[in-house]
Amino acid sequence: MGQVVIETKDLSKTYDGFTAVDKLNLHIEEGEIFGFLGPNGAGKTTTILMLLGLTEPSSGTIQVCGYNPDREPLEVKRIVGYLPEKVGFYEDLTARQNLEYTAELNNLPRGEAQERISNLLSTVGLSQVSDQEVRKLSRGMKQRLGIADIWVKDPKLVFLDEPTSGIDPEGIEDILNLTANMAKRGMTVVFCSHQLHQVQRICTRVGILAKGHLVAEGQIDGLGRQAIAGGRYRIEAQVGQVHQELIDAIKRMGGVTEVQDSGDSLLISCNKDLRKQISKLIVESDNSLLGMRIEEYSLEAIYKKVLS
Amino acid sequence: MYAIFRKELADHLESKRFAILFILATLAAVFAVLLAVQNIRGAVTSSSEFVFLKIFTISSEPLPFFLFFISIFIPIIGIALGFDAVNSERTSGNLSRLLSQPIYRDSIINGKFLASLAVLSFMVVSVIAIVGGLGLRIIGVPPNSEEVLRLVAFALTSIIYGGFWVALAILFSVSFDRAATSMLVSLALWIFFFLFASMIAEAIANARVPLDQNSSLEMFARNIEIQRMVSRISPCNLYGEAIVALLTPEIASLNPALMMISVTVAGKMLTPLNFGQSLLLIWPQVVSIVALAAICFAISYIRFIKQEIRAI
Amino acid sequence: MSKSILACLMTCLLLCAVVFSGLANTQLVMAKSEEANSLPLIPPWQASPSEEEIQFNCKYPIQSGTADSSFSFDVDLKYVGGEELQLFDLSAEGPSGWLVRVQQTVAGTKELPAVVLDPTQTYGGEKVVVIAIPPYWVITEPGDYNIRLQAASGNLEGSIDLTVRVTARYEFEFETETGLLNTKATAGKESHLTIVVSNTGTASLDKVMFSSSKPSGIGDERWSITFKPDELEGLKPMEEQEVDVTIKPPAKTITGDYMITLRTNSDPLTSRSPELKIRVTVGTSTKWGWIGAGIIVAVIAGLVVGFRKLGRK
Ligand SMILES: Nc1ncnc2c1ncn2[C@@H]1O[C@H](COP(=O)(O)OP(=O)(O)OP(=O)(O)O)[C@@H](O)[C@H]1O
Ligand SMILES: [Mg+2]
Repeated sequence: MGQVVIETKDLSKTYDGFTAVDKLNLHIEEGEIFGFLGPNGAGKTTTILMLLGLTEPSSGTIQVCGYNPDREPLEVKRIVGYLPEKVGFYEDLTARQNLEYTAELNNLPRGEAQERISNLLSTVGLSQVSDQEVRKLSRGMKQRLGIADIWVKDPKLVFLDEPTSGIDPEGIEDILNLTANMAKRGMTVVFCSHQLHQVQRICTRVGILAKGHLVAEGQIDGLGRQAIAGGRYRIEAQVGQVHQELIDAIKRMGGVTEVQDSGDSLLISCNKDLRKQISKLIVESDNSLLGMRIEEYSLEAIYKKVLS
Repeated sequence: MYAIFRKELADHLESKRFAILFILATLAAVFAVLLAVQNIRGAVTSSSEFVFLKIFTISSEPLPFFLFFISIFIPIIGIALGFDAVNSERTSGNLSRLLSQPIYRDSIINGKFLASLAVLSFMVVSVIAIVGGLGLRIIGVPPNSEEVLRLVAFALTSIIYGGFWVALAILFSVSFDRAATSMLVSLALWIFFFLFASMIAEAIANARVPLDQNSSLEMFARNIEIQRMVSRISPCNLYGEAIVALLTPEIASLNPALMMISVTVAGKMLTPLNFGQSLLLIWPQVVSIVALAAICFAISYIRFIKQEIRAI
Repeated sequence: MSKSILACLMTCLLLCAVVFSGLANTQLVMAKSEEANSLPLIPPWQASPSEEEIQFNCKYPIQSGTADSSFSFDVDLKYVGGEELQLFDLSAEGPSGWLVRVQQTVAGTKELPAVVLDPTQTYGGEKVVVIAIPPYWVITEPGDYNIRLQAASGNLEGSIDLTVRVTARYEFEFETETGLLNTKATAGKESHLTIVVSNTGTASLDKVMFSSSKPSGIGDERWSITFKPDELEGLKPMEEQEVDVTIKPPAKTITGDYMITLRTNSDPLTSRSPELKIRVTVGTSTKWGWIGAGIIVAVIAGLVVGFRKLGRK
């Protein structure tokens, strides 16, 4: 697919004897929204800090967009945006002034920065309050301002560390849309969260971290298949009449391992996505296909399964 | 770094802290000088060439003089400008955001230090200029070129001294996560240096060379010498010695005992030193203050670079 | 209204007349006094009872004093040789312009135009006081002036000549023109003060010289105080003359009040040597005052500009 944005090899971090991140191998490509999951204390934030070059790794190597964050931190920081867990702003400055300061720190030309900041503030829906002091903004507004803040430098890669915690449902919706928006504009997003259904909604790929280990990684359906159905596809087909003949015919198809009859529908387990072939077979056997559905795996189920 | 410097400067200039300290310092200085000039005619002890400097050095009894005020205000201003430099960034959650910008970590400390120093210089120079202008208007005697030089050196020394306190406060702001803690520790250290260092020095000197009525002049001198040496652990005393020597050209030696002996032997005040000689007299003090500031700065620098940036 | 003007005019005329007559008679008085000098001063006391006569006795017939004092002579009158009480008319006269009166006592105000003398009485005589006051509107020149007391009754008359010796009084006043004892000056700049010397004595002053003392602070010896003219010669009585005093504090004088003393020393004859203590208020020279104010304004302007440029708002 795209270019490799993040590549870690055996990345580890120990805090005086305590291993926070243990031999982590990550591989994230351009344009992905990578959901970074794991229970509290799993080492997600630590990993992000190492990827940003804000914390020194104990061992292992990191490449972020081809740079080593430990040795070339400035190059990495120039193209990476980071929204920390507890983001804070200068309370005495207005929303706009905060963003202007970020632009200044990124050496953006003043005129260009002004224009970009105005656009961003309206993108995140803060144009109304752009000249209010940050102390007067609500938690959700600050979070959105945080997103605008990382956007100021137009990064290639964005780390969002629990951007939705403490936000009302509407705010969450906004933030998720904004995140999706970022990805659409070609940014790679690493999205850390404990809200699994949110991750499921926007992430193309997830990685689950537990005690510093990456215990699962991949696209959600693939993960689910692996974790819950032992790697099989499960297809449910509703047919007009259930014949033993039809069952046998399906069973004879290559790749089908099991067919169960549940009255008016058939539950087919197979090791490939055989929906096309099965529907063709049903229709050709003069039976009527009323509906067909491939089983989806909720991230929650996967998460619980993986961590248990 | 320039961006940080600019922002910090703007922050300081707009802060209430700055306004209050500036107004207080100016008022105190103006007040001290207004009272001092009332006594200035009595204080002119020789057919003095340094009448203008007297504005800064003479006292009007109930109130301490200008130098005393400035030597109190400079540490307070220095501490006020530095005690929450880093920890406030951390507690407000700005630090990690700031550090994820493409800037070197040390430029945060550098920018903040320089901004504080700039504000401090601004205050010191303003106060000296206001007081000088006021004095000029009141006494009507202009400073000669040497007095101007001495005042410039005085301002520079004061800025260096303030720089030391800023560096110390920044060190504590790196070391302590709570701004209140770092402020209290800085202030406590200042009070220690300001009040107790001299007392300790006196106690040590009296233990080494006990004095009584029939002690010889030599013993007396030795006692004072020890006191002097010990009290030099305090930057307050270093600064005090430096500015007194700068603004009182009649002082030929920083050692009061030596002064006393030479005065009793010669039977008269010594002729005033020229500017170069005064500088020669105080350069160890100034270099010590610079060194102390550099040490504080270096330690805070190293600590900050090594520090976990995560808010705790 | 016309009445009061008339009254005024009358008084003026009267005054003029009196003054003129006084001035005109001065010479005359002088001539008379010379004459008086040649006469025997103390008339011999005649004790011959055979002849009727009036005897005058004065213990101190010559008195000396300045022109502004009044002189009184105690004179005893005795009538001898007669048998009955006799009334004598008394009259005293002096140089013109002088006030000469015969009184009973010095303090009294009653004039005695006549006295009754008893020739049988054996006591010393009847005492009268002759008061002589020089004119007050002109300064009487020093010299001897003759006063004659006469007593007459019918053919019988006698007189005594008394002498007033007017001596010179050297006195003068020394004041600032305005009467104020303070003045202003600026460091390094000359300032002027006018003083007026007026001869209030009765003789002209040969030489009036000036001296001054500087403020007593350290470095104040560099003050300069000069007088112009630096001495006065031949100042006549009632005359006055202005003297310009130039005061120059040294360039580095601290503002404030300084005391200087201006003195005169005139003829050694003069007992008094008046002095003036003057408070000199030295102000800031306008140049440095403005520069001082300018510095303060510049600092405030710098503050404002600094806020504008470096602040956010
Ligand atoms: N400075 C530190 N010193 C010692 N231990 C640390 C330090 N920072 C983090 N840790 C430990 O490292 C582990 C991982 O922390 P980290 O913050 O990365 O977890 P996390 O996955 O982000 O958790 P959460 O979901 O709560 O944010 C934790 O057990 C924490 O106690
Ligand atoms: Mg975390």
